[in-house]
Amino acid sequence: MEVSPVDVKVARNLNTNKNIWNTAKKFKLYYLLILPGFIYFLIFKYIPLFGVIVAFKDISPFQGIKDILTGPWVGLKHFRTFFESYYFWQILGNTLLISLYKFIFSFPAPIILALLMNEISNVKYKKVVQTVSYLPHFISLVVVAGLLTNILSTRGGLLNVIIGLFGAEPIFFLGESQYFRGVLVVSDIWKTVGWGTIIYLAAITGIDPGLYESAKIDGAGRFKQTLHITLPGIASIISIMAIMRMGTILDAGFQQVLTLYSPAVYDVADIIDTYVYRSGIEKMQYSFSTAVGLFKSVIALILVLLSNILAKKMGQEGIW
Amino acid sequence: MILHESKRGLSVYKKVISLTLVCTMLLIAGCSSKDTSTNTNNDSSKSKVIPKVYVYNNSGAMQSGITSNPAKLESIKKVIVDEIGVEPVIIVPPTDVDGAKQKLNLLLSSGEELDIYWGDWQDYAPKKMITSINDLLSKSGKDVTKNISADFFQGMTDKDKKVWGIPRYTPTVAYPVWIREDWLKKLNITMPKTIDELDKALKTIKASDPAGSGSTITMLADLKSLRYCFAGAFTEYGYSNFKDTDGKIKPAQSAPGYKDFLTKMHDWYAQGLITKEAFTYKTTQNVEYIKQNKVAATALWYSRVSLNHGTLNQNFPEANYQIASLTGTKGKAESVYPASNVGLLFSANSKNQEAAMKLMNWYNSDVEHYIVGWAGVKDTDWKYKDEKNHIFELTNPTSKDYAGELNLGLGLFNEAKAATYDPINIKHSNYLKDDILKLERGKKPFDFGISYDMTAVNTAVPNYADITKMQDEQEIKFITGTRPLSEFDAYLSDLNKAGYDKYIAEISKQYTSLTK
Amino acid sequence: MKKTKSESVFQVFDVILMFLLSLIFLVPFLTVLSSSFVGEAEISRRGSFILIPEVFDLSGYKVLLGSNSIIYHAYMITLFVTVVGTFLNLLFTSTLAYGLSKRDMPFRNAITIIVFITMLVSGGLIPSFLLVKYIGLYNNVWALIVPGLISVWNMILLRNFFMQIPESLEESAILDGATPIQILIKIIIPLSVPAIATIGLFYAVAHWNDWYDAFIYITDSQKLPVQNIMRNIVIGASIADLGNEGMSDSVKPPTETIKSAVIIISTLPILCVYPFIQKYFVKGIMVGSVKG
Repeated sequence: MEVSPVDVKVARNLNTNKNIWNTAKKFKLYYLLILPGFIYFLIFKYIPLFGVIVAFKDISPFQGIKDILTGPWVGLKHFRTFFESYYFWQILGNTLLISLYKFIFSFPAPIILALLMNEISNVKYKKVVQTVSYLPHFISLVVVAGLLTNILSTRGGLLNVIIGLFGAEPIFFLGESQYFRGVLVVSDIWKTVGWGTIIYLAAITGIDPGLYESAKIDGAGRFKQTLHITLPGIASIISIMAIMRMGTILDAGFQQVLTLYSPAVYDVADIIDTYVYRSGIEKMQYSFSTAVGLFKSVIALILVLLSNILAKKMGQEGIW
Repeated sequence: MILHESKRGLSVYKKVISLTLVCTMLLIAGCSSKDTSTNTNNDSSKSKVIPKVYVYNNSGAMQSGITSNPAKLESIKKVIVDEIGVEPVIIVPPTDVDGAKQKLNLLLSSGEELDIYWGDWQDYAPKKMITSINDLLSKSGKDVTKNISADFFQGMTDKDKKVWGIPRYTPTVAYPVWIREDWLKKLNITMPKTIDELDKALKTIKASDPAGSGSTITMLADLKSLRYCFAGAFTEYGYSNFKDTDGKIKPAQSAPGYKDFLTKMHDWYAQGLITKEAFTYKTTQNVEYIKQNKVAATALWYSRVSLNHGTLNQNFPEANYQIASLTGTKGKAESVYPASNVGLLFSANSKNQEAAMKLMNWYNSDVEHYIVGWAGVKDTDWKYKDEKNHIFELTNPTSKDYAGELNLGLGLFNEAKAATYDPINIKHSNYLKDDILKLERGKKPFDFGISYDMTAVNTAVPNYADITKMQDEQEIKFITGTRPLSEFDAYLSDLNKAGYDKYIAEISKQYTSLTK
Repeated sequence: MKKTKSESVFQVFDVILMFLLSLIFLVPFLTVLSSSFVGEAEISRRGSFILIPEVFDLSGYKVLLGSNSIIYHAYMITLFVTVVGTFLNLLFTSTLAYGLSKRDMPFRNAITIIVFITMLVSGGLIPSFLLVKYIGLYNNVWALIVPGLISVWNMILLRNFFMQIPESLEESAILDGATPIQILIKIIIPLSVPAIATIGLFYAVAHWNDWYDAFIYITDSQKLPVQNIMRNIVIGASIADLGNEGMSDSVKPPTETIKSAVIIISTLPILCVYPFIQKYFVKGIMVGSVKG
């Protein structure tokens, strides 16, 4: 008797279903292993998630769960307020641009620095350089802002003194729109590059030295080795870091901008978070800020999804 | 090989576990001794039931960021308990204003016991989270109304004459123009009395560079301060709403003369009389330059100079800032800074409202009580230097034992009556005593005493923040010259795109109904 | 094998470049260090950031560390949270990461997605606060550990490190009947010491520097960690910077000295500990493991 294609398909599906549950049984102990961690997420992340409904209500301030559950629904009102803001496109654009600049420059910087550090042959020197590179990570953003204001001042700040030696006029870095984003990016690199190398250096240690041995035998120099062994060896970590970074693309460094910006540079520096922060000073805007936060989450989700697909297409590990 | 590795792994675990046990034991030891001590303290007080008033002290009294020595705090509390039979329990907020607000939100949302806290009544009254205190005041708060004039209560009263809290801030003249009189004397200039005289004085100072090596900063300023210091010289009501010829109530931006104000500020900026980086400086930079003997004049919040004058004099004893009372073509240059709607609010869930009012009454019944809350127990922590004028001296000025938790009487109505005898802060205490409440120095807002219903405003203009952003952003551009003043009218019509006309319609409507 | 000429040139270039970079990282930090030892009078005269103080002055440190013995409790709290917290972090993170590193596990992707989404979406501050309160951890030191038990970011990184270990290494153990947890402890972790050390370092430094959790969950000032004590003292100045003028001016904001001293107090312990754990970042564990 002929077996129809439909039957075959059904049979195959039945088989795979059975296979899944069989395999699952084999992984029984693994499920047990991940159970505590998974429960943690369910309790501490998913239960509070009900709070997002505040974005669709008018609640500010309020008295406990009762208000969250019984407060008046306003649907998409807060979203509409946000989108209808005269400055919506400006702050969205600033946020994306600043994040993009940081992604282009701040993201690769630790990778390059890690590779350069890896090339240092003297172990003691390498350790000292590494430790020194972590120091900026521990200097708080407020103090960094103070240091920057000092260095960038047009009244004898170090950078402008150097510029003066070349005969140019002092530049008002923090107050002029064309320079401000540059200051953000460069100071961000300074603060984060050293600490960022840690994960990549850890990844480099995981590369089989035997690969280097065989490459050397084949006549490859250090540069070729870096290109063909080291980079591919840490490619999976780079791809994961890039994808996860997409999830924070709409943050753009709130604390950093807040400590450095002023109304003079609002047009290039006002980002979503600083705008919402100032709105919160006028009145208690709990629902509004939750709505904006939800908007950011949705965009982040989409971006992560897209970059995950892209990464897999490039043959790398994704988040899933 | 694998076995060897696993042995090393296990020894790491052993180390970690033993370290953990040690720390846990230390912690338990530390914590339990702490807990018992505070418990015994509470139990040893009266066996009779003393009502406790839970106070979230976000009045701004606790800015040092440290908390008091528990024994010291108890000794001050005892004074209050003995005198009125009410025990204040202070919940200490984080030092920063935003953090304090967030923490308050958390306290309110979790139903923690809370009787009184500071905040803007317009945020809480519509949600029925606070109660109006007219009855409480007449029953248990007679001294409060005696000490704080009806004028000051205006910011806390709604259109139905319900009072929603004890005011915290009063209208003030808080934006004086401080000038270095010693430098003026050296240059043979008298203290300017008009905008034109100030103009000339600033130019002379800039040319002569009194601080030396080109480091003189002629005038420090920020946008808000420029508005409150100078707008009055160019507009009829200063930096305030006004009634336009079409009968509508409009913000200062639309006033005839506001453009002239911006033009003058631009002139000063272009000639370097307002320092180039003025609008990017935060408080710390301004204060730093003032203390370094570099600044000739300031158009800033008054305390930038008054609180740091003492430190300045330690290094430069001849430095002497004095206030310039200025007038312009339209009259007094300074605008009175209005009171806000912020005050001490009484929670609707409070179990002890009457006790809370009794507590506040105590602070307002005698200036000495205010001093106790500020400095501690009389004769132990402080004593009078000049009893008539309520000038007192701390017994141990450098002690950090008391951080001000019980300083609940904060408000200029009290601060102006008493002062620490602190030679360093003489400039500041004098300003509080003599100047800050002398509203005659400036122009009162057109709608002085009127509290607009901000909930209605926010409903009519959901993106109110856009208007303030545009105003700040564009006016700085006009002043620095990034945008030509010829575009001022275009700016005014741009404001409508941000909701300015809706705002005008709303406050005009409210003004009419509030003044019927 | 001898280095080529271009490689030697590169080495020299690299060394010089690293030296210059180190200066750029070090000098600002040294400025903060020396500024922390400057007294109020000198700072008023010379400005906030001073590379070489004229007079050595410990007043900044006295303000911070002398603040009536609360600092002793604060250090105990911070130490406890850092040590116990990091240990529990690693425990829960590595078990979850290892389980999710098994590519063949059914529903693995679904579970990963469910966990990952929590990094992008949150219910907000107040619901989390209410939950912690409901559980009974309010004003309890454990609130500084349990709510932040697993960081998705750290977990995903660790998972990917685990995924790079060849399955062949586990196979013999599996055939011998080892349970997943035995494989994790005896094989995976020893092979992943750099990764575990890195993730552990991230958790530990995060605990050490964290003030936010205590800010939300702790009201008893005796239970605050060091960062909160420091932050409270410093923050007045920073927030005044942001233009909030409606505050009492009775207390002067502290100077840059105190801000700098806070940084030094927070950083120095970590810098002292780090050299001792640097050895765990050494490479070479994988040598011979495949062949062995």
